[in-house]
Amino acid sequence: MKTIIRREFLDHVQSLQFIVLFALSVVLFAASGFVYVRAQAERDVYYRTQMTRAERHPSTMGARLVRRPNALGFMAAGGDQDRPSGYDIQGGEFTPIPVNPRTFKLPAIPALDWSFLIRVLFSLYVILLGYDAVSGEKERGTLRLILANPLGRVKLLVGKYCSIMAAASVPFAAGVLVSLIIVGAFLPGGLAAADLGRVLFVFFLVLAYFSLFAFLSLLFSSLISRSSLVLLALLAVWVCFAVVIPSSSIVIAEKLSAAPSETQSARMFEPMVQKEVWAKIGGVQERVNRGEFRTEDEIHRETDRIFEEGQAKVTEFYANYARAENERGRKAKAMSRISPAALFQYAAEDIAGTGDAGEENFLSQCREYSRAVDGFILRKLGKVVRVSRWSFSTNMEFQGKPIVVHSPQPQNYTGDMSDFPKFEERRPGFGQALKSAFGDLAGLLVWNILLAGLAFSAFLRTDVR
Amino acid sequence: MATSQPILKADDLSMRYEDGVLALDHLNLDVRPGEVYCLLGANGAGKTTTINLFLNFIPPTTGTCFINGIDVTKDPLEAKKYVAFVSENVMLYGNFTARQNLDFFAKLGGKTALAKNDYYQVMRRVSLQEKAFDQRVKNFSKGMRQKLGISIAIIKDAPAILLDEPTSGLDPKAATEFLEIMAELKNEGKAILMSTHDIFRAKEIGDRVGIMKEGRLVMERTRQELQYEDLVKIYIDYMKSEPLAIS
Amino acid sequence: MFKTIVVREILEYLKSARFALGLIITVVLIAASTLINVEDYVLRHQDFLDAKKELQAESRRVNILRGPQVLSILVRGKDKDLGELVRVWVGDVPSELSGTMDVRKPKFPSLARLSAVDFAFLVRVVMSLMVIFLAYGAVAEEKAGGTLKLVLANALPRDKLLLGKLVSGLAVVLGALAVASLLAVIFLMLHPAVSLSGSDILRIAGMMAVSALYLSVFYALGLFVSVKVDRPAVALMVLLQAWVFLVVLYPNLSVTLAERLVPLPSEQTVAAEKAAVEDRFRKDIQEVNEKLGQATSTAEDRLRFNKVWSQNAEEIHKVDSEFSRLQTRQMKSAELISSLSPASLYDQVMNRLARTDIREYELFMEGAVRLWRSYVERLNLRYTDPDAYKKSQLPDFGYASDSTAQTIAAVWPQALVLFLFSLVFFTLAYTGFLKKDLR
Repeated sequence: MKTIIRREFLDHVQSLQFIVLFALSVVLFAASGFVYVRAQAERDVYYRTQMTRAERHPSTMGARLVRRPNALGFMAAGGDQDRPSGYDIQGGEFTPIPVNPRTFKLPAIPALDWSFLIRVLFSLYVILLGYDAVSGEKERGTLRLILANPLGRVKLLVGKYCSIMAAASVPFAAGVLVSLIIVGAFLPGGLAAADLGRVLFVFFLVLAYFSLFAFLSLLFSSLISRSSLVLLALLAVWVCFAVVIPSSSIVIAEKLSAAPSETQSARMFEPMVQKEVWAKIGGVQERVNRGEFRTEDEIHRETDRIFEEGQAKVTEFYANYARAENERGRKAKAMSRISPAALFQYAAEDIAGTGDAGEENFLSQCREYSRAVDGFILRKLGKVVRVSRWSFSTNMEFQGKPIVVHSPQPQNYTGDMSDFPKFEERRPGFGQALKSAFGDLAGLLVWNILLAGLAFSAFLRTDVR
Repeated sequence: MATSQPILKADDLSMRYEDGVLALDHLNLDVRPGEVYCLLGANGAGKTTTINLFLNFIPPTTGTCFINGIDVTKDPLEAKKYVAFVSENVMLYGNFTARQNLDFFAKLGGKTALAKNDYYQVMRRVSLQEKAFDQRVKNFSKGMRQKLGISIAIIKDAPAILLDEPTSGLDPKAATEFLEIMAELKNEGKAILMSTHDIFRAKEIGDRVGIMKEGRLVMERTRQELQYEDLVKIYIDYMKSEPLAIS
Repeated sequence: MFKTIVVREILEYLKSARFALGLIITVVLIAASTLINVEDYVLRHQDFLDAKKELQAESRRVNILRGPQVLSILVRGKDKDLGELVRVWVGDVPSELSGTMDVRKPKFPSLARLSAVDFAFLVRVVMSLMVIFLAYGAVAEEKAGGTLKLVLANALPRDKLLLGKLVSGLAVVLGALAVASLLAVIFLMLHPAVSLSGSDILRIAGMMAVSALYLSVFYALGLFVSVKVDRPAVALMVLLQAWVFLVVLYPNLSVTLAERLVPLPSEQTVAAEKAAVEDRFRKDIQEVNEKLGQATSTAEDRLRFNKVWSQNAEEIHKVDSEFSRLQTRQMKSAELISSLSPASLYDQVMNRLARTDIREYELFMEGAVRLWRSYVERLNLRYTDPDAYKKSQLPDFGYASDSTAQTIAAVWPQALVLFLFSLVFFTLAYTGFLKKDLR
């Protein structure tokens, strides 16, 4: 079997194909590394300035929490360039810091991360390595020659599989090395040892992805005798996995979230609630006239309560809407998991700490912090007030005097801020990352086992005449 | 029934490839109407190169090929009107039927006004099974494809026919049928140049036999001469002898 | 003889399994995606009409709505991603970067940057692959199968043969495109809620023309590689890698390169400039705000309020415009650099024809700014000449979109380059084939 592996490996390695891919791999990984490092440096500067400012000037009027840039984004960006870089929290309300609109005029391109290169370039290369593994040997007449030896079909197939994996891994490893050197050297703060552990895991994840395609190629090559048809079939599958299924899942996702129309309900709901609140506030004047209130304070408390009730309604509406959107997004993502390319992508994101899981993690830490801040405000000021997009201010008559009634305002606490909560972002541990990636990893494993089984059974049965 | 003017003529033909290999070394041969010339030789002796040069697939280094008196490099299109070609081991157009293949090549050869029956007649002549006439070629055996290839040459009705290894891989029955057709065509006055390994068939059908070695025509014998000499012995002797000096 | 070649080649394509497969896949995908996109457009359009009605009722404010482009059904472009609502008030000049008109947060960031499946995508990615599958064997398979020699052993000049292959290949490819396009256009026209103007129809014709140009590039490339490479499987491999580079990798890289070559000033810089403007106006703004808050404010006070706020807005708008201009420059650099990729050229032309690119958006925003200026003028009129104000009316919002002629004038260079690509590849195939060693 070693002979088989050696011969096939040398065959692959000596082809022009291999040299081209090797060069291309080094160039692309290098480009990806440089681009990443530049962008990361900017993100890092932004993060530091914002967070130091927040630390120096803590305030009960609101806090800005910026997410620490993830050092491992070069492996799988996870759409993070489209996510908010952080949140402004105030009174339990979260406002995303707007996504940098800098380049909305440029075409939206997927990030040039490892995941992209693997899904688009390397998986294709594995197909090109493996498509004629069996059919080509049949066509050349060498399959019979080989099998006329005490080797056995199983060992032959295993040998072919190993040679494909080896030939694909070499340019990939070279690219990884180049990428790590660049990132390690130029990234502000470099890469920690724990990070390297994750990098290694992703490296093996990639190998698992290659393996999938290797088995698929061997399967088709055993089933179809004409090499050119094998290649066509494999490419159709590749296009499906890498392009059609993920793109279709967006379409389906949008279909799922088509109704109710976001802007429509937002436009109608908020003004409705505002009118209600106004009406009720107007009603308060009547109640004052009827003598329902004894002190000015009571009036203020009542108007505050009405206002906050209205606020709560609006908040709940948006929260429900966001929850429904997330649900639909999750469903779409689940649908896209039919494609192993998606499984690979999501697993890589989870390990790197980017993507949906990463954002969810940050958000939950923000919520925790928000509760701590609210607790502080409650202790020092007695009341937490949320700033609203709309406010009101009106005059009323109470016991013959004019008083001004207005929407509640948050108070700025100027006393001792030494025990104001500090935000310390915790990166999810590797164990937690594995837990979130578990489903996708299992999926990849299942694909591998399935395809391996099919490939072996096809090859063991293939007609060698 | 040989008349004087040869239809196929190679005049001092030499071919040196870009990598330096001398494939043909001052080859002179001619084939007259009604004559079958068999070109024997080992692989790489220059037989296929000779045919390629006649068909202007490659230009010669020196020398000229004439088909029906026309210089093949000067006026290739005119020259090709007078020659038909049977290639070795050709797959033809698999998705088309035998008749459709024949129709296509007939039209290319200038015979645009033929009817279905004309095609059927030719295919019968080469002993192709009737039921194969309208079957897709991709399912044909080698012998069937070979017969179809010959019918393509016959239907062009050109005065010269070039064949490259026509009997390689044919079973004895098919090879015999092939020889019968060659004899018929010869009697119709065609000039036939055939390259082959097959000494025995060459002896049977060839009016003249030439042996090529390393690009040179080292020996030529007529049918009468071969009645007294053992072609097999001559051939093997030449194969065994020292490589010719490089010129 | 030429006709014989062309007829046989076309029949060969039509009989092949890969053509049938490719055609079925294309037809299914185009039908599905067009249906979905039509529905999506209809919903957005209805939303737009409803919103218009609502906002007209809300007569206190002036609002401008941006409706969906009908041709975004075929080419999604940026149309759906950009803002829809501009609220006009004296203190803010409508800007591309202002909150409501900004790029909307994508709903599904994990999936956000994949291309949408629209007609343009299917031609750019799926049909170009299909063309490669058809073209890779044009010459190589004939050589490998031995029929090339048989054909050329006849009185047929080589250039005629190659031309015949080109003509037949293009006929098949463009035929498939015609079928696909017809399907898409039929779906468009049949839907009751979709109305196409004459200009739209011309633009659709333009889209079909540029799609044909685009696919021809890939056929010519396929023919060229098929001539140069003897083994069909190797030819296919080479073509696939070329495809990945031209359609996927290079456009991506050129955008990244443009971002580096034309860097934009940082957020902080822009924010600082705006803060400087606000500093200059701060005192005045405070003053006019206070005066307006008092019960004793006069018409003069109100006028001054308008003037100060609008001046402040104009100054800030200058900062925004400058930044916007730089963004556009960056975008144009990206377009230029990516011109080496036929896929990018195709995209640019399709987006411009469909009015889903940035240019349309810029024209809209320019119109919005013009409206704002009229609005402010009229507002001032209220306090300077109340009678005239009562008689006057705020002009309706409108902006002049490029006419079909103007669009064609803008895109013909890209179309020309696409044509040149085809020409170059075919010439290379031609010269290669004439010299080809047929042994």
